[in-house]
Amino acid sequence: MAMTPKTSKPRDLWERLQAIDRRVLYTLLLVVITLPLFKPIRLPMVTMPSTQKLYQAIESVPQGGFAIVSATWSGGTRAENMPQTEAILRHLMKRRLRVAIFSFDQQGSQFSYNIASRLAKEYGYEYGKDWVHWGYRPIVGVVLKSLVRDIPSTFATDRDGKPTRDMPVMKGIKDIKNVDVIVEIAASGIYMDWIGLVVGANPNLKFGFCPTAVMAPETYPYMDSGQIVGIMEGMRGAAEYEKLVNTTGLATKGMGSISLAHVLIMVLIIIGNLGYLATRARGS
Amino acid sequence: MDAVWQDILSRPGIYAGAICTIGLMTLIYRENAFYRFFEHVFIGLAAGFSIVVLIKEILDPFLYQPVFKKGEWYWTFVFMFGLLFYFIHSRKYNWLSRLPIGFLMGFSAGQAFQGFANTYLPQLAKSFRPLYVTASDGSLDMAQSINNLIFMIVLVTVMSYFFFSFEQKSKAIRNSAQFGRWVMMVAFGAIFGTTIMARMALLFDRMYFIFSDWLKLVQ
Repeated sequence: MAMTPKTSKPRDLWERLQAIDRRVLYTLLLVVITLPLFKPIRLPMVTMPSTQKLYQAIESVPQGGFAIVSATWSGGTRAENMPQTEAILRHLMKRRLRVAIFSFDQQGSQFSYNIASRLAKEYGYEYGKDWVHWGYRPIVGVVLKSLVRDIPSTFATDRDGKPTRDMPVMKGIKDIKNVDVIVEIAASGIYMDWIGLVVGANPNLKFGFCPTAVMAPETYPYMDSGQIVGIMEGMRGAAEYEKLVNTTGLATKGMGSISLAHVLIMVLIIIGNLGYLATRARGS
Repeated sequence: MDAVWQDILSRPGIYAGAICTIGLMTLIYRENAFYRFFEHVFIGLAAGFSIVVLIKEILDPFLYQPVFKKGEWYWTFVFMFGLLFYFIHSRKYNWLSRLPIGFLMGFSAGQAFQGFANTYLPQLAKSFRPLYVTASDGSLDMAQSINNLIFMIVLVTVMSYFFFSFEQKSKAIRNSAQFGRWVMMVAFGAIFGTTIMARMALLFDRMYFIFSDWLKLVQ
């Protein structure tokens, strides 16, 4: 499926199938991605057990429980991490949990604040009372080790520099034992730091992870062992979660396009392989 | 024409984002100056952004504010200790840079040890699974038993593939390693599949931005 080599021209149809101009492929891809925007395709969606488990874990937290959301992502993975962040925050606010948000990425801090501010208005969440944004924090290991022992000192100020200690949302929160659920939304392997430094410190803590689809397969063993309660896998996971919280967001809108693109890629793989097999058979 | 200018001036960020997106996507056709220009714009923006983050989000809240606003002068010593890193550029005094490097290495090693224990010991413990699983009423839980059997076969065969310390003469070991290799291929295929899904999501996001946020052709 590479660009046509300049040195030798394909001789017949089978060789041409293996050497389709990449510009033709990209154009086809753009068409199948864009088409469902104008003519939406609604496919039946089956929720994966990993997404369902994350949903159930948050559902099991009693009202008023304390949740920490870490949004360690930037503009580059906005397509996947933004709908994930929105779906998780929507669920936490629907459940009336107290929410604290922060990020190990400056862009993620700003993105998550914008999303949370919008949702807070929708769900009547009051800043400082029902939710707080701790802002951007550098150096993962130091923050996580400190968070386990002393949350008010680790996050002494919010993103605007206001002291958090006396905020009602922080009432009764001293260390990791007072936290019910942590959800990390990330485009990196930061879940390993959470598992290594935080998760074991509170046996009742529910740790959920929302990775980009690229990273999802490597995280499954940790869900199998119970170290991660549930996984929201990329945009597809976000679409499933949107369905669970009864909303239609960017992820749901994108599923038609992504499904069509997958079909196209599978067809191209089959065509390329047919061409390869036919050429090899002829050669032998 | 006035309406277009009015639109541009009312949301310049969206227009800038759209032009950058189209500029970078021209690479699909071929390498060109338009693409190169926007690539350099992005590199410049990223470099500038990281400097602003360093000053605004790290030096200001963790050094300037505590030392000069709150009178916590002792943080100055930490800052000066960190500055020792720069002696790495001095031939005569580069040994000084080893002090903060050694400190960080010690910190990282201790943290990695804790991380390793917390990450992998539970994994080891969970790897020991019964092959005969009983349901709450005492009957055989067939589905879970099969799952555990598959898990055990995959675990053993994949591990046997990594027996590199001795020659794999036994046919049983060789077949097991071969099966382990195939199982890993399936896993790599799954990773590749999800990678494609992720890339398609990024493309969808850009197309949505172009047609919804910028051109407002779709809701």
